[in-house]
Amino acid sequence: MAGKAYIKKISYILPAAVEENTDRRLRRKTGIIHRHICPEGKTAADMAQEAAEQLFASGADRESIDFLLFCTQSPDYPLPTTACLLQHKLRIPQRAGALDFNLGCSGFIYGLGLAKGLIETGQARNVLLLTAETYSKYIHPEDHATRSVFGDAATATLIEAAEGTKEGIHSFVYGTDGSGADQLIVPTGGMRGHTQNMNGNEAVDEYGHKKKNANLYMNGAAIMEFALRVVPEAVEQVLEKAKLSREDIGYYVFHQANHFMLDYLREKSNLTECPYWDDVSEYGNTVSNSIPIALTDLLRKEHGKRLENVMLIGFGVGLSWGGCLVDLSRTV
Amino acid sequence: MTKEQFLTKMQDEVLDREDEITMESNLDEIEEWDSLAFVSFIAMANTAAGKKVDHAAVKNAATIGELYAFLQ
Repeated sequence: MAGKAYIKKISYILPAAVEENTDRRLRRKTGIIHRHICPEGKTAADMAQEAAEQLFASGADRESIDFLLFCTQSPDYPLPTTACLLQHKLRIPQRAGALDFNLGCSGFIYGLGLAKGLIETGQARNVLLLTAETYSKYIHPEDHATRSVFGDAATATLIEAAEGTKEGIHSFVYGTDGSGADQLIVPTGGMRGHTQNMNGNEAVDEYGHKKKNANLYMNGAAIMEFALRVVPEAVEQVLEKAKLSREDIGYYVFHQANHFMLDYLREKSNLTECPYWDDVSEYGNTVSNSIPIALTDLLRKEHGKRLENVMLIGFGVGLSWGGCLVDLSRTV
Repeated sequence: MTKEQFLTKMQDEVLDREDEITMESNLDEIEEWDSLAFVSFIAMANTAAGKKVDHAAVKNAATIGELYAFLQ
């Protein structure tokens, strides 16, 4: 019997180097005090390896892993697949499947969906889902607005097959709107911008933020409007799929973009009276890592509390979004 | 949203500023009217007034009163 997919363990790591947002107003609005920065010479894959080793050190068995999923937009190479390099470095059995998938802030939800599919169709029993991101390497050092928001991190989640019929990860909704692709983009580095000079085309916007071809561009206002459009709708869709009401949800954990965006999303989603995670102070926006980091912190803070139905919503670059419910009562 | 409610929201929420503002305040003279406040204004218009405002027009606004007009 295939069994039901459950989140068994989650672990995260943050690079040691820290940048501080010193402006008090910026801190109040974004909620971000510190951001961790991946050093020169180290990559997202190196951090993912550390996060996975931490998970193994806490009792997960590397020999049992039969599928490795790696979510990143900062791969080591265009090819080969970074997940294959990680299989070797982590000494995961060669019988395991491994693949990368390129998503940002919605990535953890998609990873859970893929893991559930693999487990509940009997293709795998123990899936290692890794997320790692180093947006700091994409951001121009003088793009202070973007730089003050993003932090680097990596996470490792073990999703395993559990006997029984009760769902552990369920009520998925997905969404994609590629018409907004240019609102959050690194325009070079892939084949489309292959002939462009990575360091060329330096531009300064009306606020003095700099950017070159190879840098991350984010239209903050457009991303805010996108989130306000899709997240409240996704909340309703997940509740409807699960046949639950707002009060049945033990915690709402959305992608931790920044404090003021989380505040507006809470208001627009009618969740002001519901338990709602909002903590970016020591991390900033860590892209695909933000939800697993929040879940780890939530489990520490609310240990023993009613966490059978925790709603997760991820949204961002793509534009892409996704939501689901997870039962954390078996997560250790 | 009344003018008073709007001014309170602009001062406390969007601009996060101690000094009082009026409908006549020039945006050029408000140090806090930056990229962060711009995104906040777009979000406030969306959540509190249900308006999707034109970004370029907001960037061209000269006074607080002109921003209020976008919410009507």
